Amino acid sequence: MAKYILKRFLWMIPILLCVIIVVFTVMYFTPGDPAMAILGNSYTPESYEAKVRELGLDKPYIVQLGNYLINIVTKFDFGKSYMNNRSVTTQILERLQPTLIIGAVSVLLSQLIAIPVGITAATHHGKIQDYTVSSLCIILAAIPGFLLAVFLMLLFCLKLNWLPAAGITNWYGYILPIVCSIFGPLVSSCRMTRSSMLEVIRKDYIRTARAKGVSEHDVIHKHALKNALIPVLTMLGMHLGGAMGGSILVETIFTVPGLGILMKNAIYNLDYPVVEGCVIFVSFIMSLLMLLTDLAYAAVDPRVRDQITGGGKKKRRKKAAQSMEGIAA
Amino acid sequence: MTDMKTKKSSHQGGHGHHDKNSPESKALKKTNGKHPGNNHPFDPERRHGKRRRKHSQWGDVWFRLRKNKLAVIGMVLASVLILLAVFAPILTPYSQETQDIQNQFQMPSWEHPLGTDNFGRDLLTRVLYGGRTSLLVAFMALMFSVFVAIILGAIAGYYGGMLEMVIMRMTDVIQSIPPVLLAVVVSAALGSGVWQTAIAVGIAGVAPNMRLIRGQILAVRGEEYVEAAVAIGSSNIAVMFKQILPNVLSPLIVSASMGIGGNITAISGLSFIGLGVRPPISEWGNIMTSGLEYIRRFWPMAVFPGIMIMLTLFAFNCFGDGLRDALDPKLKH
Amino acid sequence: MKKYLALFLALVMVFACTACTNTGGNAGTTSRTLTIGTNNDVTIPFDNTNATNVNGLGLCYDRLTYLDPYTGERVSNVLDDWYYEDNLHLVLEIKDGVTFTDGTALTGEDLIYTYSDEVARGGNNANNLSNFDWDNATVSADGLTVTIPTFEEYAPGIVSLNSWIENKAFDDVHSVDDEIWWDTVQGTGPYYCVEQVGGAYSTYALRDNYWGSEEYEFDTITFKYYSDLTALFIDYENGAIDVALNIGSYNYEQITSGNAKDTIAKLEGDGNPISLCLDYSRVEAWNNPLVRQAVAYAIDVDSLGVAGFEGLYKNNGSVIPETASYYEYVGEYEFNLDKARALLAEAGYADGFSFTLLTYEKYEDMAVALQDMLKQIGITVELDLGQFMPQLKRMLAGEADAIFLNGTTDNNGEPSLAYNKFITPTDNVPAASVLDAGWNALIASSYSLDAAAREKVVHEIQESFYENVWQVALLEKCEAWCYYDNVLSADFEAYVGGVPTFRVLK
Repeated sequence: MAKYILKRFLWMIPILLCVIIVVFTVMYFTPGDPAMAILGNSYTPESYEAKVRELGLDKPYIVQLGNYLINIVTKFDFGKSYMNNRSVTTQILERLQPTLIIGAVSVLLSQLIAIPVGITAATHHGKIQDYTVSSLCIILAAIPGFLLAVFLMLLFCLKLNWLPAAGITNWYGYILPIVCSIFGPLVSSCRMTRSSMLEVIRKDYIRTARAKGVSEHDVIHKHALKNALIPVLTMLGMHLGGAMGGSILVETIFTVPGLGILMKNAIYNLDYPVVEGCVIFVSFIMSLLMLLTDLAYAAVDPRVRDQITGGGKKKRRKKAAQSMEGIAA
Repeated sequence: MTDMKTKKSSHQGGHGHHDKNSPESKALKKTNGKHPGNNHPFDPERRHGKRRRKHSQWGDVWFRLRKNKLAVIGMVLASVLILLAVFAPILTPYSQETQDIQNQFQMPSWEHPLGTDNFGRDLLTRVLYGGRTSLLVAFMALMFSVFVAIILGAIAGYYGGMLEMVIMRMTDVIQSIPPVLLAVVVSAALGSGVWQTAIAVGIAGVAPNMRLIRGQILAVRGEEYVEAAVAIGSSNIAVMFKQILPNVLSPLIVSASMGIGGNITAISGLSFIGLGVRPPISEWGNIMTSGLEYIRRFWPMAVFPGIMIMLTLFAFNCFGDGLRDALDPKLKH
Repeated sequence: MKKYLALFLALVMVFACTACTNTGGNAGTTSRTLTIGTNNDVTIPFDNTNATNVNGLGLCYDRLTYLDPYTGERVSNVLDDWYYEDNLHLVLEIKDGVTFTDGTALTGEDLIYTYSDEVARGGNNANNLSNFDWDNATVSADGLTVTIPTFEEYAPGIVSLNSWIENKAFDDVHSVDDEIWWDTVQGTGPYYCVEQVGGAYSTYALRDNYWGSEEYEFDTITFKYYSDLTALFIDYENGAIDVALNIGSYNYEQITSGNAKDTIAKLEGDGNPISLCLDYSRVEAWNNPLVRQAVAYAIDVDSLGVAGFEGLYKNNGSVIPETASYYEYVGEYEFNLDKARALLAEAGYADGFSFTLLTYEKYEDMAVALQDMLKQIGITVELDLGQFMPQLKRMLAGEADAIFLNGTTDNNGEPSLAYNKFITPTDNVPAASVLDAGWNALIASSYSLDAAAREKVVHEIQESFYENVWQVALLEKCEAWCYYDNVLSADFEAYVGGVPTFRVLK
């Protein structure tokens, strides 16, 4: 088991390196001239040349890529922002907290709501609860996130004046961004839980449990649930990653000083180091999360665990069987 | 008695005279002379005596789909939207570019059913043409995803080995980047425009579809009909396309129909940030983005495209759900 | 169920912890605080391209001189006097006792350093500043008198010395890359930066060691950043902020039609009139003044203003902003399509011609409206839109048939500096060049200390400009902002150098 974990972690390294290369390459071919962007009005051919040399933009692609990689790997240095010359790493770390909070809280809350609701819908399949939940899911899935965000803002901030319209100077400010981010994972987890439960409930081993006289409550919560939740669990990492990526829209509308707004402004200002840094950073986090969910999945599901470690056990059993045969023969 | 019955039954098959009212003959009538071995008491399709001439797979799917009310609504709605998009130029007398700035922000009226936008252009026209663009880009992105996914998935699933490993690792890399960010970065790199946005949005959809196809191919690879095809000497590609792919299509179709909704949301989201399809080309997302600025003085400009997006998502989601249930009946029954 | 409860408790704890770290700044003191909301990101430190948070940094730094918003005269906070010793030497006399934020005294060394450094760095004003001979500038023994030689007689004048005064001692120790610049200012102004939270807000407070004798109304001034204008105004209406910069035309109309209690709305030009420039070398037709005038008659400026800036605009009729000294109204091209068509026909272009307009998203709406207008007289305009930076690069590389040109005067209102940019063929923006040799002489003759003489020359320039219309003056974008008049007094005149300043005296 430990070997498997180690192997997975080691595999992450080349993948992350590839992510850096891919992102850097994509941004390299983006049109726009950072040297020009920085100089702006004070452009003269000489200052332009000087700026280009200063930023290292005259070197060939491979050299730039190499420098970038080395800086990240050795010093964790994502370069300097073209706009304000501050270290990108500092800026990212500064802005990380709000995005993480909104992402983590919204995904956790969404699971807390979605799973019981999905279970209820599945166990009351065909009845009113099921129809309500399914219809709600379909309707909610159809609402685009930013429309909902603006509508909520107009309702709660303008008409009712309950919540601040922007910023996170006190914790009220987190409520609306979290509410807006909840709906995506909520709907998809709810539907997945429901369909997964429906599938599991029809399985033979559930019928067996019922036949054996296990209480309905135990059937659902002890036997069915654990199996049904596995696919939902594996999606957790993706939801978190999606929440961090989707934070751009929510943060823009509610002016949350997080990574999303940093990225949006950086794209607008063609501030490539910041864009690259943000994307790579978020990808790191998402890979890590997906790895952890995979491992959790392996830890939780004994079948997978066996598959991973069972190679050894199977061989031993086979050998034992063969030797028994040999003895018998 | 038993002997008599047996004797009688031995006269079946149309040889000689038989009792019309015997249970056997009644059964025969029901099966229209076919061999009684075809009568399956436990076949739900035949329990009430219905019969099928053609036992086609797609026919079954269609039948189940029709029974699902929500899916039908979705299908009808989606068709209506597509028709509106296709026939947009005929449906409206206005051009989407004619400006009349002094008449900006007119509320809905007979002349302008949805009102006018900030340039005085008829909003209904803009929304119709916008639908054209949105749906077109969404479908293009889908085509791109599916096309690339099929190629990559087929290669990975069928050939295996080093090629498969490389493709799978590349997919891991791409999937490590959150899909929204991936679309944003690619869109920033390619610039704004219809096909650029289609590619940017489509790229994020390649990975899951590719894994789907590869998984299906791996599952199906060992089947007999594949071995048979290889045995009679079909080339690898012919085997892939003729034997394997038709069978892996159903989950792909489901994924595709659900994917349209996601694509439209992504396209609108890109417009919101300032990438994607830019004005003056109208697209629901960028009409909505401009409209949000004016939302307090003129709500129609933000609301109506939003409603269209919602309807489209609703339609394709219902349809996709229904399709998935129809293709995999075990779940419902 | 227990698992869920545990998760929930964990969440609550996370919330509580973060809430603790985020509250603050609500200490109930009796000091006066002003909260200002704005759509510009106020937390990007001063950089070369966008002097962002000019409002905030304007509280902390002084310029050498500026135009008093009430009297219109040129005044200085830090100089006692300035004059030309002879035609080629400018003398500055610094007040005694001026100190920077860290307490060090302001001397002539700092002034020389500030401006010569800007030349070396290639800052915004470097072109004008390089006309001073900084290498030979001298400082008196007590450090309070500076003598600067110039290369041309009486040129370019005190107006060019308008950068924020920097502290040489501090700059020598801390390089440009030093993280300390994020929230530390070293200026001679009355405020200093207390805190800067990226993407959220920045706060400034009165200096304890301020050298001046004036008393300022507000002890603390906070700038809050809103990325969404709707959110900005909602917070203003709820009283969360006292001043709202960038309120947009809709809210401006609401306020001025009496729908907002105690609120004063202001509309100020941003000092940058916009004009349409075509490159005469790429568009043959543009060489004919009749064609240029035809285009001027074909444009409905009001519609442009409504489409491009939602009605927040001024129709100056000139490429010089109204705030400039010697601005004169020399006439306007009314909107008259028939006249436009007639002129075009007279010029021999009855069938029209076509060109490509290269611009970026900021002017997208205006470009689309303009395209439609010119279509009415047969001129086909292709739009080449894109993001700011790539487009700017292409403009400077001379790839554009036509562009929108921002006003080229600096905000201190000295037009002679502006016209320089029109006449030199080697200018950054070829589309703006005018090949009239007489202009050189005219501009040179405006370099004079005699205000009356200068005024006369500039008047000639403006008239000539109007008749020849090398650029078609469009409009000047305006900014609408508002404040509660129980916070700032109702006749608060805030604009100094084209930027609202919130140094309010008691």
